[in-house]
Amino acid sequence: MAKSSKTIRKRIKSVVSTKKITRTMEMVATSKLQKSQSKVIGSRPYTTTLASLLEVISAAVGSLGNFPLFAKRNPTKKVLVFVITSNRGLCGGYNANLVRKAREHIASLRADGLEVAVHVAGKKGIAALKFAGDQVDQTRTDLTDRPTYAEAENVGRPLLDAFLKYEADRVDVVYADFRSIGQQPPTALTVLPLGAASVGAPAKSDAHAKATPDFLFEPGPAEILEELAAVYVKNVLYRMLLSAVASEQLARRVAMKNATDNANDMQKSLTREYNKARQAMITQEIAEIVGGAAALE
Amino acid sequence: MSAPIRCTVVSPERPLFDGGAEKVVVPGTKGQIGIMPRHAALIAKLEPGVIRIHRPADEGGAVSKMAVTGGFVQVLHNVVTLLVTDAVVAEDVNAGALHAELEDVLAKLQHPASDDEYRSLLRRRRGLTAQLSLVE
Repeated sequence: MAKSSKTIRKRIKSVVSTKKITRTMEMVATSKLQKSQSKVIGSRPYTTTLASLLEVISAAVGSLGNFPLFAKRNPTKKVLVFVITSNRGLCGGYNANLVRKAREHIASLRADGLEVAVHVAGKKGIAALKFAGDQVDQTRTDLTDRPTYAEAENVGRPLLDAFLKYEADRVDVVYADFRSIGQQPPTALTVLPLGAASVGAPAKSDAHAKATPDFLFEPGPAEILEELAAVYVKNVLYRMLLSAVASEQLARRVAMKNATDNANDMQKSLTREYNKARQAMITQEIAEIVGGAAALE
Repeated sequence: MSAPIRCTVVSPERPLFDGGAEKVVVPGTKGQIGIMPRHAALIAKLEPGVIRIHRPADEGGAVSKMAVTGGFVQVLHNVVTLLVTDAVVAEDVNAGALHAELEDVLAKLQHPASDDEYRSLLRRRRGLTAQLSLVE
């Protein structure tokens, strides 16, 4: 009995120390989540202004079909799929869900007879796709959990280049879309060419735009549009990175919360078991003493 | 009296400035653009250079300066909105590091590898000199 109560004590100790770790990770994830959410809020004014600018200029140039970043390629043959996963694990089903979505998306593209190039960001996604024996063309593991605009530019440049050099006719991004605290579905979105459908940002025409006077453009609207479109793509990517990081931290927080709760339960039941064993031992000792005393009489 | 112009500067990461102004001067593609009250509606591309926001007298009347590497400006109904990738104020300028970078750029400018590189170097030089001009 003495031995088993000792092993139980050891297990309780290990559960408690695991609990400490998971609780800390939960708190870290919570604070990172808050930071990334405040970044999302910080990026909003820029996005809305950019969207309204794009709207005004699109109206000024009329047809967007002549602009390389807007033109739909006909026929579309090659699709570049960019998957954003995390570098670190311990975040529940976050990466698994993304990988599943990516594989489904790639399979459906192939079923349509399209050529697919797969770019993956994040160690976890790379490992999972490679393990499944899927084709992975390019990888990057340099995305941090504090995305900056410069990082989004780094991500965007190869995608834009591939599109403009006709190495890809379409660029799709698979990422976790942070819609709310309760919903971050893995989503596949077409980023290039920029079409009305892909412009997910709030392109609401506010009161200003309705009463829009004739704008002066310097240089011409076409030149501005060309540059604005590239900036817009980068901004979309930046928001995707932010959304991915927020989703990752939220998934990690939930996973760590569950782990902490489980550790609590385990600690409780183990303590109970330990107390039972201890009590049994005392009872046995008393019985032995009583038995011994009875034998003396 | 409230300020004749409302000026906001936003970067993709966060809003950088929001306040009143009497005049805003921005680096446009064809030279400096001065924006006074009742300016016509305008959308323009920005070049690397310095943005000067002349604050109204009741807000101190100072001139806020920021160096930018590019972006866009929209003027509509006395509201000036500047979209910039990054804006540097004088307090953030590290003159030593900038001088070193500028020298590097100038050295490369002697033997640019391609036309594209030449253009991007010129842009960088303009961005750097704009930042340096804030402190010197």
